Amino acid sequence: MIEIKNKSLVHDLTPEIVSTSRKWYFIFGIFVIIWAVGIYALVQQIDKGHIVTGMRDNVVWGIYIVNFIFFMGLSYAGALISGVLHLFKSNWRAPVIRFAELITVISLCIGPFFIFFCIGRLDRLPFLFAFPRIQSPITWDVIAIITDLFGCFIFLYLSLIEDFAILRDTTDITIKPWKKKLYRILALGYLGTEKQYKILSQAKNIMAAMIIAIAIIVYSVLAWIFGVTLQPGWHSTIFGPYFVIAAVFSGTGLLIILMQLFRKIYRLEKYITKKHFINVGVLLLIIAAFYGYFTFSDYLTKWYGSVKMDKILIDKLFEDYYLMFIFANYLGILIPIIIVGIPRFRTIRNIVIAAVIALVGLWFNRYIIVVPTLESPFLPIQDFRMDFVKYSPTWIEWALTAAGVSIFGIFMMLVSKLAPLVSISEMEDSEDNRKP
Amino acid sequence: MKIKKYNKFLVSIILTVFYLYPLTAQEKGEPEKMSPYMEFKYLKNTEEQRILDAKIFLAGELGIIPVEGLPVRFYTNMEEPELLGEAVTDAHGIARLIIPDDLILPVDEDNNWWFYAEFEGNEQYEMTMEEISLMDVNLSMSLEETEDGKMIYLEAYTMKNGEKVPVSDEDIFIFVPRMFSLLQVAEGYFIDGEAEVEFPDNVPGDGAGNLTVIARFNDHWQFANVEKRIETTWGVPSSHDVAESHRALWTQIAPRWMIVTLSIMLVGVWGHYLYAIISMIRIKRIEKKKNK
Repeated sequence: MIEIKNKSLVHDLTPEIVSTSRKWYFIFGIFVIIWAVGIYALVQQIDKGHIVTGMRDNVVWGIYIVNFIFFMGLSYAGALISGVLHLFKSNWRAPVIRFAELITVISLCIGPFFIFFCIGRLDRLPFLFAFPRIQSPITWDVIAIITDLFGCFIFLYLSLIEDFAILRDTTDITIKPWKKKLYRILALGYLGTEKQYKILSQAKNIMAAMIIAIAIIVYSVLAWIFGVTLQPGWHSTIFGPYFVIAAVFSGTGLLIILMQLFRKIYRLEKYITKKHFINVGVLLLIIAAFYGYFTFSDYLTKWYGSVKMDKILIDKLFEDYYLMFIFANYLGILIPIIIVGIPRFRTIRNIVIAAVIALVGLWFNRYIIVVPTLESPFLPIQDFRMDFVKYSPTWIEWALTAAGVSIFGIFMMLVSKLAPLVSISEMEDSEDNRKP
Repeated sequence: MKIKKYNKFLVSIILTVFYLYPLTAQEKGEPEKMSPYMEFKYLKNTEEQRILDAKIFLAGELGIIPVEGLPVRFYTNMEEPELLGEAVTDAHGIARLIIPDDLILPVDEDNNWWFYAEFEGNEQYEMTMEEISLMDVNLSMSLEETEDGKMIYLEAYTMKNGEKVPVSDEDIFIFVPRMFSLLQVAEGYFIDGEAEVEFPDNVPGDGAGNLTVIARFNDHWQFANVEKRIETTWGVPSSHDVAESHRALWTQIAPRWMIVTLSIMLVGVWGHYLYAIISMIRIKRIEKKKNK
């Protein structure tokens, strides 16, 4: 039986496990409504075909692919952050590491659905597994995502075992019998013995190292899907590391936003403090600097080279996509750096604002990577109808995008009904350096 | 207090960013009536159908953008315009009218037909119209392989007061259809209603050498577009065998280094997963032993 020294931890960190508040139902209801609208949009798309989207013969990848890259990026960022925080035993990691782990798994479950929305012949999807060609970057991606998904699930589960055991054994809060039964199964008989603790720690350390490596490889593979093509703007040798850095940037932004949201909703102010926001904020600043450097380097070389198609693309970015380009590549990088870099600006609210700007900016960055390139093909566009020349997403695509965000919220809220969003065991460890 | 001041500064930057976008977008999006252009063409095809095509399009920085769904009225007889019919522009911006075979069109004093196409305009687009005047010509074509080569024999005449008038001193062009448009491969010259053209023997056809030969008055000043088509086997049979590129990733078998690298990586990663799963089983076993 596991004993917790700080009894208030169990009580404070399990608000929705014990009972469901009205606030929870209200927010959950909003997410479900948005999700339902998305399902309606999906039915429309399946019924009428892809003509209801803004995608046409030239721009065959729209915001579905943008969302895919975005969610996958969040996932890999979560994996990198949680893995690094775990391996380096940061003493402030306890309240934030679970969020990073959840971002990893939930985003990874959502991202691939946008590929399903994008492809026209879903019935041919099994062919990818039946007749795989490992020369194809698409096959690399499928293998990589499946491998990553398994790894992240195992890592998340390993990190939850101690909390499941605590919830199984606790008498400080009233937990429904079915949940107790579930915790008994999920805790795998963990009693906190020295041997069990050692085995679990070793497994977690190995998986933390693995998911860092896998996240880097997997997101590089996704970047190479673009990089190995000869398309203007995509054929870049730095796309692999550039994508990885950008992913960590967006993931750090989301981590800060989630910390603030759940801190407010579940009243976790005592555990997630300004110190945590500043620490994650500094991480955001460092990543922003790297991300800005990669962005500048990528565009500078393209602009200076003045290859015809690259020039057309850069002209398009500075004309048709001017505001989006400025937001993504200037404000989205500089504002977070200014806010976190100047100590006077470092309030929780400002850091959250910086995170929102970083996250939105990164989504725009993905958009201006995907769409303008497809609007600048090497061969002239044959059919000169406006919707062939210029892509603009329809309400169907926006509805499914919103549904993707809402399902992220739904998953987070459902997880909060079963597992503490701030790890009890990590908090206990950080307070007392608890060892069996 | 100082912090609040700085916060205000930050908020003002962010608000400026957020407000700039919709404002600029609004300025750009002000509705404006557009002025389309019309391209009006006549074609007498190989089945002797008389076709009027009015293409409506916008011309801008992006190039030519066809406008779909606009009604176009077609008229004939310049003296007293008579409505021939109405058609709506399709996705390519083309409104097409096929003149009935039995309809006798009025000719002017120069023996020309006159056609007029008009789009009246609507809330979005301004009015546009175009007219053409042309002389009807009858074209015939025959193909023959002789000692001199593959020969195309053409005859062309117009009708005036019920009598045949041979076409003279006019060019005619020979085309073959390619992927996006017609490719000109030869040209001929009419003398007293007749022309002889040698067809080149190096034009690729399909796998069996099948080819469509088209003789055409192409955008002719007097006859507009008149064509005859004949299917032949005069093309050079084309082969689509592509030399294998050993360096490419689309070869039948993946490069060995790739198979080896991927296998090692996957075995390494999944091996660690297996270790983690075994660790979980060991944790469970320890509890079972303790309970015993």
